[in-house]
This record gives sequence, C-alpha cells and structure tokens, in this order.
Amino acid sequence: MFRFITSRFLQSLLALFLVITATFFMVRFVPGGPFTAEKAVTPEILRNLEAHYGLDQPLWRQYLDYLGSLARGDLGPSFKYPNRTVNEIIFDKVPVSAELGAISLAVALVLGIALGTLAAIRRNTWVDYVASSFGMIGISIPTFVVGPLLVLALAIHLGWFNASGWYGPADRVLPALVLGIAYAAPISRLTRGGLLEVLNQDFIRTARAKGASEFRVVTRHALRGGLLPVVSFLGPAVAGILTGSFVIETIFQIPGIGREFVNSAFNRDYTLVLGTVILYAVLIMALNLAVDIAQAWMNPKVRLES
Amino acid sequence: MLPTRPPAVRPSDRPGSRLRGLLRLSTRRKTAALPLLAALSGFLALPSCAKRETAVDVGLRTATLEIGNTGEPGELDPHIINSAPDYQVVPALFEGLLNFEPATLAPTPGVAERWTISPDGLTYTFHLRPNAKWSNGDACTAADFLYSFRRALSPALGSQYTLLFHPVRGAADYASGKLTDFTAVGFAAPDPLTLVLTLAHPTPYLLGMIAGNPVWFPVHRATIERHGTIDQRGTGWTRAGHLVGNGAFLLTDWRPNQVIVAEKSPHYWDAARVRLQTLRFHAIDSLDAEERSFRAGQLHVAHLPPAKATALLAAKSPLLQITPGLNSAFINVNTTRPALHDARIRRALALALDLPRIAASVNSARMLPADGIIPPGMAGYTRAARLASDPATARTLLAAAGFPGGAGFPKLELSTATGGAHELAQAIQHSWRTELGVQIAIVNRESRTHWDQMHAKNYDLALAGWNADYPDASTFLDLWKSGGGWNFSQWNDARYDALLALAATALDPAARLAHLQAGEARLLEEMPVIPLSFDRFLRLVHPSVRGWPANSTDRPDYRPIWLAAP
Amino acid sequence: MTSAPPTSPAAVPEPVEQGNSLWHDAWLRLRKNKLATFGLVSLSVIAVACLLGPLLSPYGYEEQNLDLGASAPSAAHWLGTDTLGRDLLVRLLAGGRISLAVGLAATFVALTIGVVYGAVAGFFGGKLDAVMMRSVDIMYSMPFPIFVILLMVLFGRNIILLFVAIGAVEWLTMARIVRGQVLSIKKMEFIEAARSLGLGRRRIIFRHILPNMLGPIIVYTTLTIPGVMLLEAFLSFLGLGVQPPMSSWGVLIKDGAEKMEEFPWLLIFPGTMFSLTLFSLNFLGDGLRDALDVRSSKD
Repeated sequence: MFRFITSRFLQSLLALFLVITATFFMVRFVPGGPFTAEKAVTPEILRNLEAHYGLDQPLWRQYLDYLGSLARGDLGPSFKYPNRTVNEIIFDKVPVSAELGAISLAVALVLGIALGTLAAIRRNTWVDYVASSFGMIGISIPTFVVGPLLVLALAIHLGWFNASGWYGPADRVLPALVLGIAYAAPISRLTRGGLLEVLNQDFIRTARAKGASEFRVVTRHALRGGLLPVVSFLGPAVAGILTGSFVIETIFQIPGIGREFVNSAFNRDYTLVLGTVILYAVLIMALNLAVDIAQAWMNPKVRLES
Repeated sequence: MLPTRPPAVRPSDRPGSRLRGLLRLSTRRKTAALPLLAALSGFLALPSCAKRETAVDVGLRTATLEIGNTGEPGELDPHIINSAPDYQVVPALFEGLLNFEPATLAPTPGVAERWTISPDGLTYTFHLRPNAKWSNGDACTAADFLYSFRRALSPALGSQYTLLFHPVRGAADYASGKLTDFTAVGFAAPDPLTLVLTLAHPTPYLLGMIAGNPVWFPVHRATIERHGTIDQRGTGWTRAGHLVGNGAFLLTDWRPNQVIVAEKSPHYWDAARVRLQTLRFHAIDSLDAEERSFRAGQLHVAHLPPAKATALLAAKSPLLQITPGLNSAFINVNTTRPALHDARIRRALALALDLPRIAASVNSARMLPADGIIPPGMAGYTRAARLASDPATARTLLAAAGFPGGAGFPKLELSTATGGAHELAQAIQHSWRTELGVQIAIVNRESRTHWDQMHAKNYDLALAGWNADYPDASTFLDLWKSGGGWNFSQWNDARYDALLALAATALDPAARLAHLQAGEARLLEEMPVIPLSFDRFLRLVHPSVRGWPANSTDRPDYRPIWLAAP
Repeated sequence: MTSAPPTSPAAVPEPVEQGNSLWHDAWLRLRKNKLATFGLVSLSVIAVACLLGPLLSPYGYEEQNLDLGASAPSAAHWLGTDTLGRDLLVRLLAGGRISLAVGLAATFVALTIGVVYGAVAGFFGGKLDAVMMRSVDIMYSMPFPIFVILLMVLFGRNIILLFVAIGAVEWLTMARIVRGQVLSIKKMEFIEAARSLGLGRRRIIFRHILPNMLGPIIVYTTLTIPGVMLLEAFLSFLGLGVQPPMSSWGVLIKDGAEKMEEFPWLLIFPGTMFSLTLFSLNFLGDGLRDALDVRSSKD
C-alpha cells in the first residue's frame, strides 16, 4: 500500500511538472503581454517594466527562475495587481469559491436527488416528464441567462436580496441557487438512472412483497444503491466546484478564484495564470489519488498499478 | 404594419413604478422557472422581509457614498496606476499641487495655494500652503514633491506617464536613464514651501498637465522607504493600514474584488469643507451587475450598459447623468496597406459613414458623432474644419482612385477588440458595403491580441481611441507626428509636422490656435484616421447625491459632495 | 468519469449475430419513450428549418435597417428585429447552422480521437494502456479556459475550426468510456470463443468489440453536443464568439440577455430555440440510454 501511494505520488509530481511546463510556454506564446494596453506603453518604459519583472531574460532562464521560486512555495508577484502576490490572491479567493461551491452542492444534491427520485418512481408518467424537464433546466439554459433573471425577480422586483456582492449570509442565496440548479441536472439524471436499475432488482421486489410502503422501499432500500453513480460523480465534480465558476462569480460579483482562471489569461498575468493552473492540477490529482486509494482500500481485488 | 420601438419606460411614472415597468417586460421568460424558485425560496426558509433598509438608505444616515467602480483597481500608487478604476479612487486619497474647475478644467489651488509664471514661460514657482498635511499629521512640503517627482521619473519604477513631465528641463533624459543626476533636472525647492519648475520650452498647457494627473501627486517618503526603495514596484505600501496620503480621504480597508473604503481624513487642510464621512468603492467589473446593484439600492453612483442608457435617455430619466468626455474614438487606417495608402480612398471610407445615424442606432447615449478628431470642450481650441457625411463624394473619390462601385477593391479587414463596439463595427461595415460596394471583413479579437496586432502595425483598419492626457488639442494632434510612438497609421506628412512644430513654439495663443486648427484640417483632408465619435461618460446617480462635480476627465472630486433625502 | 466496466452481463444482452434484432428492439423502446420521441422530432424540425430557412427568407442575416432599429414581432418580421434592424428569424436560423455545426464538428472530432485512443488502450492493455491512461489523467488536470483562449488566438477567426480544435481537447472522457467498455467486453465469453476459433485481431475488433460499444458511444455523443453548444454560448458570453455579422445562438442569447428588459424578444426567441434544442438532445440521449440499456453512462 505504501509503495502504491508513493509511486502514485511521484507520478502526480511528474504530471504536475509537465502541466506547469506546458502552461508556462503556452501563455508566453499567446500574443500580447502583461503590459499590452489600448494605450501602448513606450518602448523605453516597456524595457523598464520588463527588466523589473525579469521578462528581459531569455525564456529558459525565466523558466528555471520560476521553477526555483516555485520549489520554495513562491508563486511570484501578480502583474495585474503589483502589490499582491499570487499566493495571497489564491489564499484569499479559494475559500470564497469553496464556500459557494459547498452551498451550491448542497442545493444541487437536495434538488437533484428529489427530482431524480420522483422521476424514477413515476417512470414515464407526467411526473417523470416534469421532474426530468426541471432537472434539465440547468444544462439547457445558460447560467448567464438564469442568473440575471433571478436577480431581476428576487433582488430588484421583490427586494429580498442584494443584486451583487458577498457580504452577509443572504448574499449566498442567489448564486448558490443558480449554481445549484446547474449542478442539479446531472445529479437528477444519475439518480433517476441509478434508482431505475435498483428498483428492478430482486431485493426490492422482496421488500415490496413483504408489504413495505413505497416510501420506505425507496428511502430505506433503493436509494442507498441508487445513489452510487451520484457518489462517483461527486469525486471529480468537487475539483470543479472548489475552483469556482466564472459566470456566477461575474454576475454576482463574488470575489472567488473562478474569475481569475479567465481574467488572468485575458490580463496576461503570467504568474497568476500559472498559479491557478497549478491550483487546479493539484486539486484534480489529489482527488484522483484519494479516489484510487479509497478504491484500493475498499476492494483489495483491484490490482494496484505501480 | 411595423410597430415602432416600444417605449421601454414611461417618463411620467415615479422611479419605483418605472423600474417595475422595466421589469414587467421580461417576466414572460421567467414563467417556467418561477414556481420552482418560489418553492426553493420557501424551502430555504428565507426571511422575506419586504422593506429592507438598503445600503443607499444607510448611506444617507451615515454620510457614506456607495460608488460603483467598473472593476478592481490594479494599484493605488499614483505613479503606477494605469486603469480606469484606479483613477476613481486615487484622487480621493492624494492631492497634487493643483486641482481643477470641473466645468472648465481651469487649474485651481491644491497643495499649492498660489503660483507665478515667468514672462518667458520657462519658470513656474509654486507656493505651498503651510497647513498641508499627510494623513499621519506630517507636514506636506516641497521636499516631498521633489522626492515624488524623482520617484515617478526613476526608470526602474516603470511609471507609464513620465511623458507628462517631459516639458521640464532634463526630465525626459532622467526618465530614460540618460541623465542620472536628479539635481540637474529642472525641479528645485529653495525652501519647504516653495517649488520651482524650470522648463525646456514654453508649454502653455503645463498647468493642465499638473492638475489632472496623479503622476504629479506627491507620495509620503517615510512610508515608501519603510516598505522598500524609491524605485521599487509593488512593495505593499499602498495597502490599507500602510498607505499615507495627503488627500481629503484616508484608505481604511481594501478587500480585493469587493470594496475599497476611505474615511474622511482629519488632517486634510480643507477638512471643514468635506461633507462625506465615508467613500466605498465597489469593484464591480460587469456593467450589467453594476446597473442591477444600483437598482437594488446598493449604490448611489453606478455605470450602466449601453442598452439601459439608451432607454433612460429616451425616457429623459433624471437618474442618468451624461458628461461629455475629453476623448476621441476613431478608426486607425494602416496607410501602408494596398488601397489605404491613397488619401482619396481613406476620405471615401470616412465620407461614406453617416455617423449621426449610426450613433443613434448603436449607442445614442454614449456616442457623440464626431465631426473632427479633437473633442469639443478643449480649453482654448475651436475647430475650423469639419467632417460631414457625403456618400456621393465618397463614391466619386473611390471611382477616381480606380475602384468605381467598389469593383476590384482589395480584401481588407476591420479589426476590433472584444467588448461593446461590435455593433458599431457592423454598422460601419454595412455602410461601406451599401454606400461604396466595398466588402470589408470584421475581425474581432480578444482585447490584448487586438491591441498587440495594432501596435505591431499588423492590421488594415482598426477601431481605436484616445483619452486626453491633458486638456489641450496637442494631446491628440501629436499622435500622428511622423514616426511618433502612437502613430499606428504610419502616416508621415511633412506639412503636418511643420504645423505642429510651429504650434509648439508659438508664444501667442492666437497664432498657436491657428496652427493647431490647420493641423486638424490637414488630418481631416488626409484621413490617416477616420473620426467616429466623442464618447460621453454615463452614470446613474441616485437623487440623494448632491453636488456631484461631473467633469470631462471623469476624475471625480469627492470633497463637495453630500447626501440629502430626495 | 466512470472508467469502471459495466458489471452486469445484461449490458450486452445478445451476441452480435442477432444485432439487427438488438437495434430493432432499441428502436421500439425509443419509440415508446415520449420525451425521446419528442426530442427526435423537434431536433429534425429545427435542423431542417436552420438548413432551409435562410434560403427562403426575404431578408439576409446581415441586412440592416438602421431606421427601423429594434422592433417587436410583426407581420413583416415574425420574430422582430435587433437594434441594427436585422430580421431576428433569419439570424436565428442562420445562427442555428453555426451552433449545430459547431456542436457536431467538435463532437465528431472528440468521438474519433476518443474511440481510437480508448480502443487501442483497452485492447492492447498492459504497459501501453497504463501510459496512455496516465497521459489522459495529466490532460484532465489542465484547466480548460487556458486551452480555449490559446485556441481562440490560433483559430479565433474561424469558429468551426476553433471547435474542431476544442473537440481535439474534449476527447478525454470518450477515451475513458471506450477503454472501459473494451476492457469489459474483452473478458466476455463470446470474445474468448471468437479467439479460440482463431479469428484475427482485426476481425475481433471490428466485428465483435466495436458493435458492442456503439450504445455508450451514441449516448455519450448526444450528451456531448449540448455541452459543446453551451461552451459556444460561454465563449460568446466572454465576447469570443463567431465573427460578426454572422450570428450563432450563443451570440444572440448573449446580446439578448443584455437587452432583455428593453427588447425581450431578442432573448425569448433565441433562448427558447437554444433550450429546446438542448432539451431535445438531452431527452434523446436519455432515451437512447434507456433503449440501448447502457448502464455505465457518463454524466
């Protein structure tokens, strides 16, 4: 077991190195730079700025320097926000995205499982159709349409919420709802599929034959097995949830990391691009490793690839 | 039967019902989602108090102004800032030698209470007020200004606006590193309250340069040096708790991508005149979100997207504040490209555009259709030559240049950056096709890619613009000097250069004006750029905000503002 | 993300020799599913309308009428006009061509690469499989936006090409699914039987393994197209959509969302069309999954 974990860890490290290297050279390949602006910076000033950030060095030298500081855990200064480091930006913003993600996930689970269960036990009736349709709102209407509509209705028209911001608990409701609806869609479909499969199995028929109520059959017997696909979906989904959503964070002006994934690339904030890439890659790899370990632990028959 | 554009808002309504009227238009789309939403909100057991006290209401009580600020400031260091949100905050925290009159942009006393100019226009003497203080109580002296100018000009700092010091003797050389002895630069402080500037050549607009631009603002030496060296970027001295300024407000909190809070500074020399207690700048980087936050009662002042502005303008809404801006939007024409090297063709492309009609359809609130390259409201400048749409002449010119009816015209591209201007580009493209028979493809690129291509002169036609660095016509005309760094048209014209040289050395204002006018006329004749519009600044301003000193540089002065129940 | 093989042998109910009846049964099951039938019908109608509509319309998708401006639906313009006075119906149909083409192109590329890659990894197994799937893992951990922006720079001027490139990045999940299928089918008795009969590798792959994987592949395909179309809408939200004056559903929805209060028809019609298409594709996908009895489907 120990050997398995060590070897997977080393593999992940190698993968991380490849990801960093590819990204480092990719962002430099994109036209424009951190100091490209509508108002062009004069060549003298550009030279000064590039010298300040070491961008005047040969690329391989910059790459080695970056790896050097990375080894010390330093992701470097941000270009767009000169008085903040990438470390600070990431540590500031990840908790916000994670909080939003956690609440959204809760909304998605409640909504998705409820709709999926309804659809499964009333398969091919109008209940199924209505529940399935609701379940699909999240993947059929872009969030940048749902979000503003909710804001107009609940924040502006009814005045229940703020239209943007991330201050009080009430500010969590609308973004978590929109993001939750988006995540509810796959969950409700997986629940429906999983339940349908379980409901056909013998032990359910046995339970029914014993005279258990339909409610009891579903909640006590079927859901446990029927939710297995949902559980395996949650593994990789968590990485996406922790790293935030660009659209939601923009519509509701949430100071999370999701916006930085896109904005840092638009700003050519090289260090912040790399910082977010590393964050994402590490999360994915850690979760994959966790899943592998869990599987190996639960099922000794799985051959450990090492 | 074509129904005309429906009135989106009814002017007679009170603001509340108008907003509801705006809303009603969009309710049809919501019907599918609403029952679900209602169920969900019930499920989440939300407190559904109908009348909450909004931030705008609280502000009225606590003299707090909630300001929508188009995005997150990159920096608050006056010598480094370069993006629009920065310029909304920094003037609250720092004060330069001069301020300006909002209506005319004429210089008014700042830290300098009076100043004199020598008859030859080469020596400026500023007398600082003795009660000017930093926010920690230190006196703000001429030595602080000397230190600050040295810092701003230090090559390693990489300030992007050193150009604004260039009239001062030796400043350009110091900024480029050719001169390393700062005492040789034309700044001197004979005593703590006197600052003397010696210029290389007379510069009639120098006071305008000083008044409007944070690069001329002072910084607090002890604070800079506590966090780093004089020419070090990003030392963190601008963070809340560190920053020491000399402005009317004092930075107390900076929550990235959320809010910047500034409180009234007790040490400010004119604190008695400052009526607001707190400024809160919200870093909202989406115009739509900013406008919605305003309507939800979170902001006193907000920016808004074009569609909303157009509707409010049509309804003559009192909430919409429109301020002419000192800027010019135009199409850069790469004069080295086929066909475009011919001035007749450039003129034809310009004359084919019916700018008033295009502006009215695309963005009537923001776009003031251009009739020249220099915006109105430029101190001491009036336009002599005017550009007016004339498709018939355009067709004649195009035919004379060898492309009658657009036949055989080379395949050219109109480059644009992602963002608001895509409708404008399409209207222009359509005009060229229908008026001249010229097919031009739109190439819409991600912003920095677009700028990069334009700066590399790798384009045919490109949507571009320029904001005045100081209120004088030369800030625009200098762009197209032969070989100039911003001359992306690559247009070289000896006559134009000669006119600008004459204007630069003319001491008599009338003679100078005549040369500048001739320069603009030459530009409109040769058309290395096609004028499009002078863009106005649009804001939503809550009725409780009083005394907002709107001005054409969009650098707000928060001192005279107060809040009172509407 | 399920790389686990289907556990139940029912996943492949009948050996291939009775393939015709398998597909026939699936078709009957699909027909019984009302939502899936609805999806199939509405998709066909939308596709035909988008293909033929722009040819029949009296207006061009780029034809402006600045004097008219934005007008509500009327007899002359059934769905109204946009702020430049362009007919929304023809822009919607022309935009549909782009959106559907984008969805199909990216999915086709993802499908091709994913199937080949996954099949090779699964069939040959061993070291090769390990290396190939580790590479997939690495690629999974690359954040997508960076890729997309880079691709925008390279192919931004041709949206179809852009999505071909996106498809070339989107094949990872397909590869995992296919590999899982191959692994499980490989172990089944009829393959063993075929092998013991001395059939060649090529024959085993193409005659026996591939047909048994078609179910999951078809299902995943119908579920990938909506994902790609949403991505197109997201890129439009970022302002990186198709080059104007061409339209796409993403661009129309983005523009409509900005003007939803002033000119609601600019959002309602494109939004409805887009959602209807995505609903239909998803329902069809679900229906196919039920009909083909695919257990280890991916969401």
